Amino acid sequence: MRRPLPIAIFATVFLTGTLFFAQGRGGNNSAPAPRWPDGHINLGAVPGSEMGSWDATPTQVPLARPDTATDFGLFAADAREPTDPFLAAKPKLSQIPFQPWARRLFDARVLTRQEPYTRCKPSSAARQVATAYGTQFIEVPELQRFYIIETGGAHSFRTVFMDGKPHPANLSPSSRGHSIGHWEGDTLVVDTIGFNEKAWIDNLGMPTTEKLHTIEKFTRIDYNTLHYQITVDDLGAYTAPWTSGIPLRWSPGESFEFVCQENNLAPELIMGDDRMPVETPRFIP
Amino acid sequence: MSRIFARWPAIVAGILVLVAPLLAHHVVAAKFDPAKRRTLNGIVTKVDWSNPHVHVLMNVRNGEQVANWAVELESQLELERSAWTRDSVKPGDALTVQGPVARDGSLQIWGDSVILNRSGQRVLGMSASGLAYFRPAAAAASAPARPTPRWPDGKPRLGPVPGETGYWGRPSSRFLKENGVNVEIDEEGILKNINDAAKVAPFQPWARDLYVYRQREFLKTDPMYLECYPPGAVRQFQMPFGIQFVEDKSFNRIFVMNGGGNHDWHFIYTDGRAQQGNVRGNADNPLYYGNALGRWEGDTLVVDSKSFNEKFWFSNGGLPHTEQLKLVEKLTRTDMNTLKYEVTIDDPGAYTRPWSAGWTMQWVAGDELPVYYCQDNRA
Repeated sequence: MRRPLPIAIFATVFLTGTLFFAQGRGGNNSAPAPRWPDGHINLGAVPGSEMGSWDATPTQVPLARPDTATDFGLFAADAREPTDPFLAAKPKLSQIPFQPWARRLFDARVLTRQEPYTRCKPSSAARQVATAYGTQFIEVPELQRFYIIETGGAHSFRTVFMDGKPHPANLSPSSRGHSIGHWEGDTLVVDTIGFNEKAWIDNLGMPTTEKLHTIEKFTRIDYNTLHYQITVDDLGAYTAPWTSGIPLRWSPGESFEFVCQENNLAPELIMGDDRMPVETPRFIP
Repeated sequence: MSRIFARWPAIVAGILVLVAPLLAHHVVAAKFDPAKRRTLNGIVTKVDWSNPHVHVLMNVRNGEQVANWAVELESQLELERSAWTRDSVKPGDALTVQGPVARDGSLQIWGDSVILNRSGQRVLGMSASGLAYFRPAAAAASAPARPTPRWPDGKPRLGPVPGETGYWGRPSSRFLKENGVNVEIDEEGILKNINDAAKVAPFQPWARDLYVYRQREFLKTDPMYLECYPPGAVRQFQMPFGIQFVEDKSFNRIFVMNGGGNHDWHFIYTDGRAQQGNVRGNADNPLYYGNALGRWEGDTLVVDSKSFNEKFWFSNGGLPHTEQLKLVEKLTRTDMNTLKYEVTIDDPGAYTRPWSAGWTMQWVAGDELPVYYCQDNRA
């Protein structure tokens, strides 16, 4: 018994946040998505009510294996036929249009399991949104900003510029890239370029190149549910753009301080103790 | 040990020359030995363009042997402020590098000087404007700063004005010492004269000894560098990559976001809650930023914090603290461009009495908070 059940359960909770908090509370399923006084959708907590964050709690134990594709990853397990149309629209692994090299790299990543997230690196795109203990989406209309703030993982943040300006020229590649956003009806659309090739956009390591361009759509379909959709446009790693998504659940409760670097057990707990060791760069710290 | 102590002034003199430009990460002398300088000629094999330090890897030939050296430079952010890019040096380029080599004998050198052989030009160094960007600017006497910006209710704004951008950077002090104490400390928090250590703050004897010990080893065990731990309370206001405030009026909380360190954030709650661990986990897990509760007294945000852990250093320079630490911080935006920071440190575990310190940060108008991750060139 390589990975006993208690460890798996603990890994689940550690990785995705709060089975207990997310599922036990907020019986507000029929309530519509809240709106600001000007009518546009509020992607966060409602002033005067309890704070909360968005949780990507999966419905399966999320150990990082290709045969355990999860709701918070970017493809569906081949064997699953979800009834939820949002989940059913997720591509299966066989439908992802990998370039041959990218498929080989993906297969290698699945075997070696060296997800940067588990080593406290800032995750990009979908992986940031699916961070443990939830993410908060905070719009500051006055400053034409939207912040995606994660509690777990790197406990960091991404700024989405909503001022209508285009991406700057000559971006230096970074793990989270440069994000600009706008509202299309009730959906917030976020366009990001300027990624480096070190960060992973999901938990299993879909390869990406510096050509990566993502379009993320945030749609709060009711009070407790947010559909996060991402289009991966990277002709360096894929033969065509492809789209996937993650359902997020509203989880009431206050965010808290989280320091990944402290006593970090994530590599063992999330990736398993038979993962390949990570080579330490010779020049740090 | 005494031998090291005896060599201290000479070593310090060396550092002052060598690390003058350093802003971003560990103290150079913590890793590189100023007494062991080398000149290396090599062919570039790779450029790792990232924070906290850019590295150029190059093959150095010695007779029949070829060794691959890592040349360590300032951070990506600083080099880009000095107009260098990741293409300024390319694999195949021949370089001449001068600087101190690693204390541990590994093939690493700090790139005091990097010359591109084909042009004879010095490359990947800090320019005057690159250095100036992260340092306090002298106020332009001819153009007084605009008054403190305010919310409609009259409270000062801690963040940008609508339609503008900016963040708080360029701290006027990058070390901690008690107000009124006259000792010389460099930008990395290293005392010019180790005999001044006891003057810096009203230390308990053990805390003074630990401070001296950390100083003597050039702060090499600093957890913010070594482990990429959060900057933590107080120190976050000494960071050259700055901070940003986002005041969330809907929930009476203020996001405080760090540009540098591990690019993390915390809340100051201004909702009048009581000082107790009422956030999940905080009651029994002491924190890096404490439970930070703010209230406005006139134009000053007064922040009371406690429930700290002992895992971080609350200042550059390695001053110790204990879990008994309580802070009262006062933040006053005295005009558009100036944030006055005052702190009273009450920690009977490490100090004999409460003591105060203070400095200012400057508004870096028109720029966004830098994005810097300590983790970037880690495994």
